Amino acid sequence: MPEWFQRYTGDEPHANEVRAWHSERIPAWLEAEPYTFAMFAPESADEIADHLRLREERRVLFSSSSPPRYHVVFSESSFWRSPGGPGVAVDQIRHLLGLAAEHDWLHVRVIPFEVSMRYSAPDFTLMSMGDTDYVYVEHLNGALYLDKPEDRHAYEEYWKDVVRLALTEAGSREFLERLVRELRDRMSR
Amino acid sequence: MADSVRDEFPPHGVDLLNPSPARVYDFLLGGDYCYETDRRFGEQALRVFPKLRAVARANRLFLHRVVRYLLRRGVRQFVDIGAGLPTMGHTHQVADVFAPGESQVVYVDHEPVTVAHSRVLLDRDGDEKRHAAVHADLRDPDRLWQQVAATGVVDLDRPVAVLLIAVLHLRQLDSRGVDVGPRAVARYRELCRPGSYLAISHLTDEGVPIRAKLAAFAELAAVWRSKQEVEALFGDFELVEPGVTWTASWHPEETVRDAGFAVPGESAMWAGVGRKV
Repeated sequence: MPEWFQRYTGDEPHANEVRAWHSERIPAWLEAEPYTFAMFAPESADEIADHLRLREERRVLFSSSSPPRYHVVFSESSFWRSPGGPGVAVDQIRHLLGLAAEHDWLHVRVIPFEVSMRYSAPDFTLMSMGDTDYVYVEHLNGALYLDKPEDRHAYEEYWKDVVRLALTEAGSREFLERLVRELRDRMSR
Repeated sequence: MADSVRDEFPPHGVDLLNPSPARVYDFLLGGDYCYETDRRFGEQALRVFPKLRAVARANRLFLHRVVRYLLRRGVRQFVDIGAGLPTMGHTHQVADVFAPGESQVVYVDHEPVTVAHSRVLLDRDGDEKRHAAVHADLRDPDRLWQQVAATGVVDLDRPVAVLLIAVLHLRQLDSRGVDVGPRAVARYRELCRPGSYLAISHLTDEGVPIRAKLAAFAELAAVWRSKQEVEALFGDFELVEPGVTWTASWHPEETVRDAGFAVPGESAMWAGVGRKV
């Protein structure tokens, strides 16, 4: 695991609340196996197995006795922009729906394409630890841990937009179930 | 892989857009490790050939009986080539029920995704000293043999059981389009020590009027072999009783369940076990 990611994964199980916005991807801990495979398929069996093991480590949240309240809002694009095509996307959405149904601390919501936004911000995660709150922003080869009040304020304001525009949890579930049907139809063609 | 080898045996493609034989088989066995693409293919195949699920089950039960049969005869090392996913009662699971902690199993597959998947599954229920999953190519026996030896899990200077279960009917093409499966099997027979065993199961259309129905399998590049052709794969190995027969008819007394065929020929696969003398 890269060094810049370790503080985040160390903090995650101890957070009070985590709020994450993902515009174009599924985060590792919510990935279905085929999604992970499709991302790394050109690599060797050794490397793919390492990615899978890392993903397993991140799934400790699902067996934790005191997981954080976890809110994830996805842009619809996260599901269309799937490695491996519609078949993998179908598996991924079903996996996500299953996790959300099974874990009441996990709240998944979606902003459909037709909802207009001022702009789509890069992915970020608001980490509420109780004392040391910060915003985690990843780039391709590293990450920022923003803990200055003015930085956190900017992201808190954006998050307000995100939750205002997102479908409710029940509406998101229905939306994703419809999306599965649509993707399956595409596969038959 | 050296370029010359790469040229002779073009690497199998990796893609998740098309079904994988390993995961379609898992689907047919009722496993959890198949994906939408595989399920969809499996469902289509079942529509044209409803017995396919029973064919897969009969093949898996054949594997179970072979493993137990060989364990009774003192075999403790297994090299399972074209293993697919180690789920739904696979070699190491069956062996560990019969002789807990005693056997070593190396699973070999050519699909990097299947091998990576196998490793993670073995992390959960395997023993790293006794089980391994290797990414190697059936078509290149000498190199595969070295890779299996390099795991340190099996000692190839001692007898082993080489399992080629439901794999040789997937075309093993070299760069000129020749199916080198039989040639590779001949080399495996040479490579293993006397006292070793070879177990094979293989799809056939013989006596089973399903060739047209199995057209769905063209996508998986299957090749049918006759009983005689399957017998030839054993070369100078001594076939154990009852010789090459339907999967469902090979030592049926070794299992309590059966696959539910009206006649054994419905199992659509020839199967046998041979011993190097």
